Amino acid sequence: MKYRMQDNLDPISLTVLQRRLESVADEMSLVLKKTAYSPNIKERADFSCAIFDKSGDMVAQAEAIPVHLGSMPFVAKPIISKFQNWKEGDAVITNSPRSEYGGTHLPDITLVAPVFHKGEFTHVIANRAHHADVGGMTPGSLPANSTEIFQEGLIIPPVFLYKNGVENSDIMNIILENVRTPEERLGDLRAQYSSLMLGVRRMKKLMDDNPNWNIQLMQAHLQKQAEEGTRNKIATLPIKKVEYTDYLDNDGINLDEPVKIHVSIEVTSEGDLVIDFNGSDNERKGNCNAPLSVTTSACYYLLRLLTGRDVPSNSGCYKPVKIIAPEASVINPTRNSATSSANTETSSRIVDVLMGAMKQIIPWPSASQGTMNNLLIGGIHKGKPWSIYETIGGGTGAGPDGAGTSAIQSHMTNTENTPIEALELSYPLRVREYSIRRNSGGKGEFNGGDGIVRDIQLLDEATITLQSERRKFKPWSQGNAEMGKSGINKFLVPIIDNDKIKNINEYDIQILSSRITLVNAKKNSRIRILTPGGGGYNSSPEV
Amino acid sequence: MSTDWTICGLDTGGTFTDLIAISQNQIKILKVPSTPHNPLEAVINAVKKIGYVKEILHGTTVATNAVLEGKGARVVLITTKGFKDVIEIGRQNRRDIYELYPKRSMPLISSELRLEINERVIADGSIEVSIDDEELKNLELKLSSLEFDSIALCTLFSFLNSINEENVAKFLESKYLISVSNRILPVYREYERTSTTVMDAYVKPIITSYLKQANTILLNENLTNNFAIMKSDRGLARVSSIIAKPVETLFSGLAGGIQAAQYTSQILNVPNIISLDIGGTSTDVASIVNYNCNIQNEQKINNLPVSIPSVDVITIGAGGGSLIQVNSGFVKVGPESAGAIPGPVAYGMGGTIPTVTDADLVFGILQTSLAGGEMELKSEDALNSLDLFSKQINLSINETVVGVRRIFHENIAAALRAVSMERGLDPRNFALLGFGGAGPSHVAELADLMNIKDVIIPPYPGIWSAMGLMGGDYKFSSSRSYLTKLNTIEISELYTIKDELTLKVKGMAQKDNIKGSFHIETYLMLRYVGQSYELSVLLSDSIEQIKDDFINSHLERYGFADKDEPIETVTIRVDLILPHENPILPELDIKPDPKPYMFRNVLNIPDKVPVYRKSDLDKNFQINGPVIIDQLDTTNWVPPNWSLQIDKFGFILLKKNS
Repeated sequence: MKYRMQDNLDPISLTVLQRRLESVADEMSLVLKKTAYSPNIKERADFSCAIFDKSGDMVAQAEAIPVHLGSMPFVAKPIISKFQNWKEGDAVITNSPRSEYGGTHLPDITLVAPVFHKGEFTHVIANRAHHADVGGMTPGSLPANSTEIFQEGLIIPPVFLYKNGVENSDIMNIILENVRTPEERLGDLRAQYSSLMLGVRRMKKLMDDNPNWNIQLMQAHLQKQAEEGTRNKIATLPIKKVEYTDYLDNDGINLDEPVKIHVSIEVTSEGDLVIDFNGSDNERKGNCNAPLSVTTSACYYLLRLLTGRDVPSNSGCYKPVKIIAPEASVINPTRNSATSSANTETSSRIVDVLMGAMKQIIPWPSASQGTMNNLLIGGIHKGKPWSIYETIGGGTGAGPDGAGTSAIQSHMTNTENTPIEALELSYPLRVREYSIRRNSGGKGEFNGGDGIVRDIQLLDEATITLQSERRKFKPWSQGNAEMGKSGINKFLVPIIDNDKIKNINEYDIQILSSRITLVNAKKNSRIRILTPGGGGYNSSPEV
Repeated sequence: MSTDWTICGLDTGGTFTDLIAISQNQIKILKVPSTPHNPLEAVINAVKKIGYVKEILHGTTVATNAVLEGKGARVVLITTKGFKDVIEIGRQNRRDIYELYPKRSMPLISSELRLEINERVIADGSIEVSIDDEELKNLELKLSSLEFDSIALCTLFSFLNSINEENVAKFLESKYLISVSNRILPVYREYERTSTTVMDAYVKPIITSYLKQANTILLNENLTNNFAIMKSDRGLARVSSIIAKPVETLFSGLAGGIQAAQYTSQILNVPNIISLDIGGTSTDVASIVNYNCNIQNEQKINNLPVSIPSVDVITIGAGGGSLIQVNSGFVKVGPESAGAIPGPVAYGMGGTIPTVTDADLVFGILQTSLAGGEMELKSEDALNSLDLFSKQINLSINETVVGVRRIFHENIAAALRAVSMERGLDPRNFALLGFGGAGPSHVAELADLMNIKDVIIPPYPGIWSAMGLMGGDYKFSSSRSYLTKLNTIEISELYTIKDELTLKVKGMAQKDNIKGSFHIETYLMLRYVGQSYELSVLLSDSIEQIKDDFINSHLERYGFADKDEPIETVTIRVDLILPHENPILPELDIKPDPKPYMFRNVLNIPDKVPVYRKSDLDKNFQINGPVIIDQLDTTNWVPPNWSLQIDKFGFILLKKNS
């Protein structure tokens, strides 16, 4: 088919539009990062920005956190149908992971705003940021042993946070009264809104600058092009059906019962990829239940690994994927189930089973650390509530193309660390060690990457929550190479003698389980986390 | 008869080393081939061609290339116990989220060269564990078993309290070449500070030997007695202070171009300019606001952070040699480049993938003979390669050529937006300055894309960066971390710190033997309490004024600012500046009325376009586009709807017709 330049559907015009959309999303990210208040957003960049067309299909996304990638579209569509009377300057807020609203877990708060050009509704702009606290039973709002969503924090269904550029103080007050760190939340939410308004201005300018463009039609073509690019890539795979099973250590409640995730991937002769999770466990009492948006994100991530950079990130990429997720299961739970660790931990394991299936289709690397090692610490210091959230990198898997990398974020997250000096300046904490956990990657022809050691001392009494995985089941390898070493969570308690610390360097060492909340952990105690290494690779067959 | 050269700019580039020299009434321009194996050769060769110059100002890429090519020193890192891997872990994130095998830029120091010492400063600036003699002895023992060239020393919180770090530094500095973090970058964030310190140690031996050698040869052979280098923040300094902190030369090569833009803004009295330097493989863009370029601290090289003051410039992979390709339905122009070899298809040196230069040639604006006839371009080959490409994307050859030039412009426009709109600046209030070999052929069309109405092309576009070196000021800076809430500060405290830092910078100027009248500028880095990134404002007479300046700056930059939120100071910096007089350009001679020397067919333009030689034009020459002005090293393209005027120095000034 030959397009004429005048239609603006030729490769040149589409390339120009694509470039413009990407730069709007990038600029939104820059503003959010530079103006946010909490270390989790400004230092660790735990957020994503995206642009959708007026029907809620994604047209561009700033590259940030993979787990946000596939889940953002789930939030745009319901809001568009619910808020048909919205106007310029409005913004809707939500964090609800219930399937009708497309959230991931409660700390991820999404703001969504419409774009109007010459009075006509044209686009939706959204950003999603991980807030360090949204209330609930433990600081950081990722309680290790929650059994229902109500324990995990404030649930915000889609409501207006801004009307015509003015903050809705009623809603804002409800939010701020329910969180441990209201100033930070206020600053972050305002930063999210200003990033959205920048996106709105830039989108309007884009359309002003190009009055001849039929932008809706062009976007549809970009989406079609992305679909074709993805299909072409799938067409290079052998037509085949493969299966893989892996386990989460536990759900945080029944500590001896692993959680089974099973997948089959079928490459069909029509060029579709059918991903079927039948065979996975039913939903659990603990918080490992992954909302469908999270499960979908993991599948989309796999697809993006396959297609690479050449295919732009928009909703067209995902057309060739069919996801089958049985209801009331651990990968598609009912609405009141606890979900807080699914976004990080279950999503990691879903990627691992997808990777395990892929390696049977084409050469593919071994498992990476398979956890985000969520660490949340908080309490009340000198009368002021505080809360900090981090995820810790580990080793990545080795494969036929080379060794893994040490001490780095893998798969569904890419957040930065909090600089030690920033952490200690802001919170009653002191970091005792931050290093590479040598020899923790699985040995083989190619070695898996090593994990990290992060050791933090409390300078005041605090509550610690750990949501980690791969403390029992190790990151898998290939051939007869070694698996990655499993992670270890240690808790070091100073030895007290007659109310005095006996020796600053002597501690009573406890090994903690994968998921645990330590309420009122003592001053001077230390949490020492050793993160898993990546699986090794040998070309020889498994023994 | 030898000329009495007063000043010369000397700029080492990838292909050529450019020299521009000025006397009372003459200007001399030279391009000699660069000598990458030993850059000094080309530098000395160039100067020898003109003889003695009173003052030589040099832009060097020696440090930059050492990092890019991994040819720096073998560095030992000494850091706080428990933290030797910070340099490798970095910020723990990966560059590309969709890589099957995620990688990071490898740190410049391998793990066996990282040493730890038992010491600790904590967040309130007090010492938890101090350094004892035993620890120092152990350190010395460990060092004696290692082979290395230099040391980087960076301990936690040394920016708050440098006693531990300085104790180690003083113990080692008589024996080893050492870079110390609190002296180089006394600000928080341990990874960025360590990386910058390591970078300093990494380039120290090579820069030291390069500059000392250059200095010796230039002085001994009586080629000059004033030799200075341009630093990344475009301040000039002599060899003795440069080698104390060589990391400051990492972006020396970029600074000249930005200084040239600032010089242009001053000499033409145009306060706001966006600088656009399009070369063969890359394009540098930056904004000049109110005659000044912005300085920032967040530069990266090879993806490794270098947080020292540098010109705020964005470099992208777009140039005359950028390759034109198609990928998954999108047309790609760059960042891959044909480089010097094989170069564009039209150079006939084996290139088969069309480049921007080939598109320009088929577009019709370029002269077919280069460098005064030394090289003939093969238009036919360029046409064939683009014809083949147009079939791949199902467009006509004309649509293709116009289209790929548009995408080239879009790529550059993204960078132009980044240095203007993303920094809260409206490009419509700026003039666009186009230079570099390919800048003058594209600048007017880029201005159109950005809604910019004024374009400036300098008299010598190909060597304009070297020109910029001559306009630099001598500059010495010193800063101190000062993390305090603004409303708790007495203004006198700030002036006390200013005085201490002023003493330091005066000492630096003295060490460099720089004399003359100077002025002092004091900056405060401020942010809202809770934020992580600072904005800088000038120190003024009252805290209220400082607060107002910050709020205005935040509003300008980010579009909002809260009047009531608490503000904190982060750093104080003092700059000592010895202004350097701007070089005076000779004026053009009066010439007879010029005539076009030929006509060219340009795509989408019905009539043949007249072509003039730049050397035939004198001041006040005016003409409406479309018109082409050829000169030795570039082609100036004036599209329809633009009018051209030449000023007395030979600047080409374009205006968009309303």
